[in-house]
Amino acid sequence: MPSMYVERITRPSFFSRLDVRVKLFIMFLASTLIFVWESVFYQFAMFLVALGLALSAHIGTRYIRRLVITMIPFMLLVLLIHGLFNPQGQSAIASVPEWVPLLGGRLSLYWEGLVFGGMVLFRILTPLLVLPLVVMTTDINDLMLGLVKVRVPYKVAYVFSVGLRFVPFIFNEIGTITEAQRLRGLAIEKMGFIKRIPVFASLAVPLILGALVKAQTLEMALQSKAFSGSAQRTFTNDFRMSGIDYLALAGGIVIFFGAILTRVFLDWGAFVS
Amino acid sequence: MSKILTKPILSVEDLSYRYPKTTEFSLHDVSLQVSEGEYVAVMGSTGAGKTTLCLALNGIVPHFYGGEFFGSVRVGTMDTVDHPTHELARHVGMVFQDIDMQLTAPTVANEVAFPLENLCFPVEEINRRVPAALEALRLKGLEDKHPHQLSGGQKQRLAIAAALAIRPTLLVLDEPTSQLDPVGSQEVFEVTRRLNQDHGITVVMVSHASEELAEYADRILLLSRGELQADKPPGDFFQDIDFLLEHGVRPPAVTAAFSTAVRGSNAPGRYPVTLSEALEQRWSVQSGPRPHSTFATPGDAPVHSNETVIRTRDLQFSYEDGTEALRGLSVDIKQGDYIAIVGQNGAGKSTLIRHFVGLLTPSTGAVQVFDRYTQDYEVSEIAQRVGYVSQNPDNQIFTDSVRTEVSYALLKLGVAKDEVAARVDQSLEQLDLGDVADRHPVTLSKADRSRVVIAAILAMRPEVLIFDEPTTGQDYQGSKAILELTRELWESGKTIIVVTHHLYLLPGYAERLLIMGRGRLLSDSSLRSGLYATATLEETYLNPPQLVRFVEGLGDEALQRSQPLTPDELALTMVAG
Repeated sequence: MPSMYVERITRPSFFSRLDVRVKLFIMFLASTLIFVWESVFYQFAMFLVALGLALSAHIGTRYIRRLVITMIPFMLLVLLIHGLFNPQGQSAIASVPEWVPLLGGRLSLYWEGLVFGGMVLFRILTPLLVLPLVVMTTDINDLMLGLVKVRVPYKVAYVFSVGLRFVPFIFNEIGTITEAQRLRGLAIEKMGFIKRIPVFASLAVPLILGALVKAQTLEMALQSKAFSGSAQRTFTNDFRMSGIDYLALAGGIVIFFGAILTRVFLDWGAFVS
Repeated sequence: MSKILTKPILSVEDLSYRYPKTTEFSLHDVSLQVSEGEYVAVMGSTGAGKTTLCLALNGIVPHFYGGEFFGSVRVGTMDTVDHPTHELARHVGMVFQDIDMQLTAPTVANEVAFPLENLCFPVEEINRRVPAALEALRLKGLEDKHPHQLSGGQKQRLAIAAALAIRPTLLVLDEPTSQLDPVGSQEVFEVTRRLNQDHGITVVMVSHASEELAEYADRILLLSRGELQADKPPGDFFQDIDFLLEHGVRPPAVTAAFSTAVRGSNAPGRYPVTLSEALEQRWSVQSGPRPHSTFATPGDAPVHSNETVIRTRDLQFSYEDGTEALRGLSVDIKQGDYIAIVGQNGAGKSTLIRHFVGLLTPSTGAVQVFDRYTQDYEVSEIAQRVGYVSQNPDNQIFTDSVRTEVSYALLKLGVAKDEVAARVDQSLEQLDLGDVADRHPVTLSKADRSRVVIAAILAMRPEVLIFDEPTTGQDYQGSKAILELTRELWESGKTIIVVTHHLYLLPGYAERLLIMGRGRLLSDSSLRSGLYATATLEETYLNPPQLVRFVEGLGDEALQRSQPLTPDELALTMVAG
């Protein structure tokens, strides 16, 4: 049976031992620098660092493979759109033959566009790797307290943690509803993409209604447990930064400002094709 | 022994409430008081206002919903209208029906600490109260588990522990056992009784479980269409059986049996309401009790054929995590069977029926449906011959009207439009849904939404119909209505398989009983023999129906041989007086 909660990696690692505030800073660092840099090589390097951290934190290759496989259609679409239509495109590497009606001779795939598309992909993939890295290696209570300690309102931090709870719930529901459709005689596995669209669209009715009912029950349950959203509450879990945390934080700050300064003054990380 | 009751801690006066955008009041002029240390039960059919009453006790009604609220609810000295729910939470502990969504923390210990943290208790006090609450609810040792790793009964006990840690004035439980198997349900009732008797916690419990409430409650309130119709101790509450049935409440089996047995005689009219009371009554067996073969078979049984519709051989199945769910199970299901499959949670019932429709394939062994191995079918192919109705109708409704829902699959399966229209009309008529054909399914009651799903599946004309826990979360009338429908379908020639925990509902419907335990088939017999195989039932943690326990408790061998299952059958063999 599918689990109703986000998987937690309990096996200790360098990353999992870090203070949650340092983890949040690393997440911020990775998510920001990919927008500072426009070079696909820098983006790729950042992706490799994130991948290395994920593997060292024992996030299974199965999860990473699933992430990449799920993203493949989207990645191909991004590459194709940029390759064909990005205004940076100058060097055509392939063109639609003249004899093709309407598009023949009018549409070409450009190298610069593909490179730009690659950069966009890394801007999406890196945060998708770093977010679960933080979430899966941190106790949800610590994550919430960490967010509160970095001045995120408690209500927002709690909504974030509840949102994490809803992710597996939604996947569970999609599985159950798809199963119900197959049990109505729909051979979804044999349908082509176009035929599947209305079937998937019909998922929305039970999915949204179910989520609304669950959200309402959850809110009532929270209020019944004296939850008011106020930060004026006791936190039974607490944590302090250790030497290694300060070291990681200092290293992160140096990299962050170093990257911005070298980008501004030395043009490191500029777009190259 | 009656309790010495002190001051009232809950006072409801002339409470009327209407939800926003509705025309009917959910509660009308309800007035009641609950004293410290009482165990008060609330009964009534679906839509009677039970949940609304519970929600009014901690201020969710009206603070959360809005709407029109008249009268007053006071908990101690606090008027619920003047205090927000998070303040009232210090005094009213609440346990909901939805087991999963009320547990919000990542560990068992955090779950219990959460309300205390919200109420700004010092860390030292929280660290004292959490273990105490877990100890009281027998959850010690599970502190670091994720709540969703617990069994259903443990989850509800955890929800109670979280409510209890606040040390509330009042503990309100809204149908906490409706989604639990008999073991989980028993755990919750035992715990509430212990908290009430040993710790003096005042309990308000909403439930349909007549036998348990007769045993545990000090008073039972009957709500019907938002009005308080009765407020009596169980011994008095269950006496007027016709009145209870009229309001959708099932009396305890022994009460119904005694009432039937004394009908027309001069025996005193006070009926026992608990098993022990019933056993103390004077009963005598009529001369020469009838052998059970003379008891009527339910309904007009269709002629059975020898055709096997589903066959399993040495079926074994293990989940990815290594859990062995089925361990070598062989069974033949014949065309025209009406089979009930029972067993504790984790016995393998759901895993077995998921094999019947091809959602799972055997690890070893084989499953054949209509003489073809399920591996050779697509699920969608099997679905056209074996219909599967799962527990929650809301996951099986995809469109915005009852009629389109019933036609949904047919159109996608390429059935001709004229044929679709004919089948839809027939299904709607069979399920008595003609009047609501153009309504949005969401606007219907849960029982009616289940009927919509059944109509949609029937429209595919399957020969076998599987109902997975169709009575869970339904009130007595809803449960009976669904079982009546299964009987009609059976009488029309369909093969019916029902998975349920509610053994007491089966007499009059199922013919054959499969008892499962730990992935094995423990027994395959007639319903009558199966329900009297008490040792086998107990092996899989199922309580035999109260009537069976009563017959066994009397210790009369002739009576035990006759194996009565219903109050009417018992009345044929017994004389009460």
